Amino acid sequence: MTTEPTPVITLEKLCTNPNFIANNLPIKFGITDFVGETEKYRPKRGFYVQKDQTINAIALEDLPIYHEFHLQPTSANYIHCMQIHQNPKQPNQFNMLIGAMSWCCDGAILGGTYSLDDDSFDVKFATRVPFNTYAIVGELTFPDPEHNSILGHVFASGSGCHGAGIQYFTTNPSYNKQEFIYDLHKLNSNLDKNQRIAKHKPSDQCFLYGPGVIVENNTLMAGGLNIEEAFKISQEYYEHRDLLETEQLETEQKQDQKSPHTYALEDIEETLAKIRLAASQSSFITRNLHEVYP
Amino acid sequence: MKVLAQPHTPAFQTPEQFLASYAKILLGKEYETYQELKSTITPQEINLYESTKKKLNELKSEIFQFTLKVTRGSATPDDYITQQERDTTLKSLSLDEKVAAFFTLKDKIDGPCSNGSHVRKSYITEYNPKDRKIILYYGENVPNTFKNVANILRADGGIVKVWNYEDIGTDEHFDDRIYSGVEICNRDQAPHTWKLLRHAKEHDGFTLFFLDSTPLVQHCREDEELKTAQELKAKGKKIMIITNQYGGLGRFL
Repeated sequence: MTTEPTPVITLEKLCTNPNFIANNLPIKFGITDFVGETEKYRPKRGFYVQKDQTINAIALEDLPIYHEFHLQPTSANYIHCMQIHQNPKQPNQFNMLIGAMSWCCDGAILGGTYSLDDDSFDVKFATRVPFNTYAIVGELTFPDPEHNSILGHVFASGSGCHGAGIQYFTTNPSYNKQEFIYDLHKLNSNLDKNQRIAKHKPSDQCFLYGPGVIVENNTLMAGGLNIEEAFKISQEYYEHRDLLETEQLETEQKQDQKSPHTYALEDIEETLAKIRLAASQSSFITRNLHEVYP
Repeated sequence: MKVLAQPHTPAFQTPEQFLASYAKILLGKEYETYQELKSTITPQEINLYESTKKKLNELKSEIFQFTLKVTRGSATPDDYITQQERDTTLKSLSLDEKVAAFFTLKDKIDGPCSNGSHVRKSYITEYNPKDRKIILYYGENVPNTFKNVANILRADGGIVKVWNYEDIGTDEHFDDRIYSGVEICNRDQAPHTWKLLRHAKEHDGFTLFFLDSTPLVQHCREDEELKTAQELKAKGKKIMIITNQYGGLGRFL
């Protein structure tokens, strides 16, 4: 089955308003550091969903992320950032990407779907990242009754004593893949390429004091780094494109045929197009580091 | 792997609500003026104000350079012509008084509110002052960061009574006791902190100390008061020490 490629959209600004409408009711999402009715002052980190006057919350500690996904409890001590994507076809469903941090060396990224129908959160993935996650952006497929599978592509960036930079995480029914697409501590191998990603020499502080994911010149950025370029360069997009152009030129000259290779250029472009589309339809929440959230 | 959400009651007011409440306590009616200005001033007016102010500062700097040239006798006829143009421009520029008043009030609010927010962050995860009857004792030479602890607690809903530190322990009709001063030890400067420690030992309420960091890590380190506080904390008593360590704020205990 062939599917239409995702259209490439122009990004101007990301939405930071956590308010939505579902079934004519106002819905609001937010970070909370205190979950639990009886022990309301006991810190328990999570997020809340306010449906009109009713507020419900999901605590990270209550998610099956430690046994099922082998996440260390400390890696997800605090939620720092969230991307909330309302299903355009099912407004009661919200895909959520969560960037968490230990506030020490490492962090975690989590993804899943919140359903207003039964006020539940279906966690789809959770994985440790070697930094405190200060920005997250990506896309997850919405639940489909006919296809019980999930596809997701996530970029997370941050810094910590175990690493700093941008990681790319992808998940599908057969495998998960996680890699640094920009490792701040292993830089300078190719300055020309790095200039595509960062205009100025980046530092750990760029992530810490950055505003999370933003759009600059129609590109997704975090901590002053061009996420999309980092992804393209890590996947050798430009090398493949040059090879393809050379091959196409040669084959056209020789046999008047197209090159048989595609070098996954379309996959890379499609992944970015999906993330950009999801980002344009999402709302982004970032913790103010100086605050605790009720 | 679905998890059902649980009913959530916000534990305390949001940081924004706290800041509004704190600013109102600090500024009184001026805060109402600030809010009024904030709601009526448009982004265009702010942009115009900022660009005019920038232009004025540039002109003043250029005029200063011109004056220097005149003093040194190096000003040329062209410099005088340029200066005349500057004078004309300067006369034509004026700052919007409404926006200027807004920024004056904003400056008045931002500093204390930022400090208040930091102080609050140091206790709020474990101590919610809302509706608590609090008695607060200010010691001598209170560090600047902790001079407004009473109002910070009030902005968080605490019912705060400020007493002279010499009166520590003379009234038991309070939920929590808080001390804001330089140090916990050295009986000359903090002769009554023992009474607060005794309160922490004998009562269920909270006992908080807002202290300067230097004595805690230097001459108070081995003193009995600090050791007692640490022992009480280890026994699960509701005792906290908050300090202005490293120029910022943090929990010592």
